[in-house]
Amino acid sequence: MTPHANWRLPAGASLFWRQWDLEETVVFNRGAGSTHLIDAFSAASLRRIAAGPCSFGILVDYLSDLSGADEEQVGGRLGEVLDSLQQLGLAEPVSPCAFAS
Amino acid sequence: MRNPAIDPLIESLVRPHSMAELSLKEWDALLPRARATLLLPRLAKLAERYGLIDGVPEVVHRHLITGIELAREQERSLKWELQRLERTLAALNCPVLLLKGAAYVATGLPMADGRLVSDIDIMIPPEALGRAESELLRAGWQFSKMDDYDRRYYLEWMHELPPLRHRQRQTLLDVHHAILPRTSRLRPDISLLWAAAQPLPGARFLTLSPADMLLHCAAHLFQDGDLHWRLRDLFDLHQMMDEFGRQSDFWPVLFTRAKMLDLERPLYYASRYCRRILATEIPAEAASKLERLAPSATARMGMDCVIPQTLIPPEGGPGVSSQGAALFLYMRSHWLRMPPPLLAAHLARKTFKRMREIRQTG
Amino acid sequence: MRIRELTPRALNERLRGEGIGLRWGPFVSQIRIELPELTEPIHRLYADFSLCEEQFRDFRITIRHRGGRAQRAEFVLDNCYALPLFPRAIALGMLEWGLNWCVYNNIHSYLLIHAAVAARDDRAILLTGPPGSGKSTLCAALVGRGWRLLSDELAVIDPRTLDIWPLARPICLKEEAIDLIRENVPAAVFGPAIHGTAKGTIAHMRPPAESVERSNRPARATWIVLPRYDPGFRTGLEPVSSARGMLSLADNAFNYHLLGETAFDALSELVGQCRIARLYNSSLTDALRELEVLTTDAFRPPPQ
Repeated sequence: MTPHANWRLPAGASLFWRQWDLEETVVFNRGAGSTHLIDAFSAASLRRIAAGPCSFGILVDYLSDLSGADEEQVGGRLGEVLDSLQQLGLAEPVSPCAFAS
Repeated sequence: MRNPAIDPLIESLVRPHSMAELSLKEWDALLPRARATLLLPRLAKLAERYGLIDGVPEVVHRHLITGIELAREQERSLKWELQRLERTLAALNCPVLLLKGAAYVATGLPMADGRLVSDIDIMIPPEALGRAESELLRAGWQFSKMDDYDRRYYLEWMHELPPLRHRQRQTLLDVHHAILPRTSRLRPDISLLWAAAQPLPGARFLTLSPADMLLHCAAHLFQDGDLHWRLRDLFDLHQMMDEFGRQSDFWPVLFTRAKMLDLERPLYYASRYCRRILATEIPAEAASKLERLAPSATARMGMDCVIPQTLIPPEGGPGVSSQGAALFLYMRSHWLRMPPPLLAAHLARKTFKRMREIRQTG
Repeated sequence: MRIRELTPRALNERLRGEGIGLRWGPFVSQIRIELPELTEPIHRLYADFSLCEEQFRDFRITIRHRGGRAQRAEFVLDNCYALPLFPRAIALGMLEWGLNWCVYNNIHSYLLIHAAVAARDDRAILLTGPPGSGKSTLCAALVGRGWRLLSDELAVIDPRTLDIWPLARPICLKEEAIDLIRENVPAAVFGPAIHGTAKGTIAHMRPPAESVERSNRPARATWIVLPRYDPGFRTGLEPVSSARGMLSLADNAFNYHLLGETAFDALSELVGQCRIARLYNSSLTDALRELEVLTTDAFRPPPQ
């Protein structure tokens, strides 16, 4: 995963959210027909991605502003989270010169 | 007043409004036959399109809703899968042709509505097979365990990939480089199919031209297919003739293609049985040209005795026509995801095996 | 006419002839059985069910003998779909299992969850969890204490109204649970013990007449309990978040994935109206006591 890759929702994904407390969010991806329970950090990352494609760097800035944690901490955690989101079909990287779809 | 000699299953397909007149008893007989031919979702979608769903008796309603839900989920699943495939295969930089059900859904043709697609069929140029395999494996597709051994055999002798299943999504994918098995008596020239293939707007896939699509379907049903209760395939052909027939030059093109691809015989049978069973309207000129493609009178009579009965489950109820022949075991719907704990408990007994394999055309 | 009003012989004739029309909750099935040894258990277990003659049946079932020395039988739906052959000796168990199978394979107008459901005053408790967690046992015990039986295995939920519809059919208990419930519910009527099933020895408890009578009345989900049994556990209830409760139900549903957004909406709404807890327990009596506390607490909406 290159730091310059943009992250976005996969084509066809359409997300619905339910939240009963701050720690846990349930998200339904209507495109994939899949349901996931994700933690607050992952939910915040995903919401930002859903709002518009963004780079790893932008996400780090956004999340550290939101949480008050320093960028190194956020960056460390974000890598794993993006990997998981990709596995779950909730987000995908697009390198700057990939085909436009 | 409905003519009692008409088969309600056929009638409901070709004149959906007739569903509004069905009695409870008729629905009771119809639904199992619709299920047996995998046509329940299609009937349900037809009923929905013509605004008939809310008018049916309440006890029938839940079965039509079931059909609608099945149809909806199938469509969702297929569209999602095609989007993922498009991304995976982009790296190949070769044309990818969608076949059968996947093509119908992607192009939004009437045959797509309520279709149960068990797997996705695509065709790629033979030289791309090796690279396709690596990209697909990388994206989470896998061959079933028992095929590991046969994999080389498939690639070297059959020149196609063994069936693939996605590890996570459980979807099935068949990657072909020809449209009929090598063992088929008919060998349509693939380059002709590629040459006439049409791009899909908004996606990187191709589909067969309308004439080729129809001929492919006919070839599969009447040449190498197992016809048992395959009414749905005949209905596909009926819908294609209806839909494509609106283009003024369709039938002339169809005859030309059938000759070029050596698929005149399947075309003959397709039209014959569509007309006889589904009352498909075929222009008079085309109809007389079709007659010239007929086999001998005896051959035709033989087929007439067998085909209608084979395509359609009996009216009294599917019935057990002979030991093991008409009775087939429930085939797992891969879209019906049972949770793992249940799978262990209920399926330890292997609740489904195929006594009679249902090869879906997709 | 109720089944108890037929003589066993008359019932036998019907079962072997055109079959009987049986209504169970929302569903009607025509059932033909070629194995005479099933007549008496059916007469006993389905005593309070009414025979019906409907023009439209959801399922047409035949259980027939498949001969040979191996003494096997077959469950056939609509004369067309058959489950694999099973030993004739477990046919009664397969009838019960098969009727549920008919529903979850063919009905997707409801959200179907693998759960035991009982109700008190039309407020339902859903007991859900993997096999061996004790949900049918708890369900049987609750029913023995006057709760209304909806189902021991299948929660049938209207995704729009969230009504849960009863099936009220015999409760399947296995192994030690059989004796445990005999002790716990002295008035319980049981069918024969069936040996050699995938779950070991099973037996069915007859549903109370009142549960059968009220099987045309839905209930509303109020409590969701995930039982966890282990002899070493200290019994107690542990609250479960709505999010986890929802996913637990989804995991235990037959058609959650198939129903997509409809199911997502329905389940999120459902958990919002329920108290959800895990029930650790090591004894039936302790478990029942906890459930009593849970279900008679002044009803508090779950924390927002």
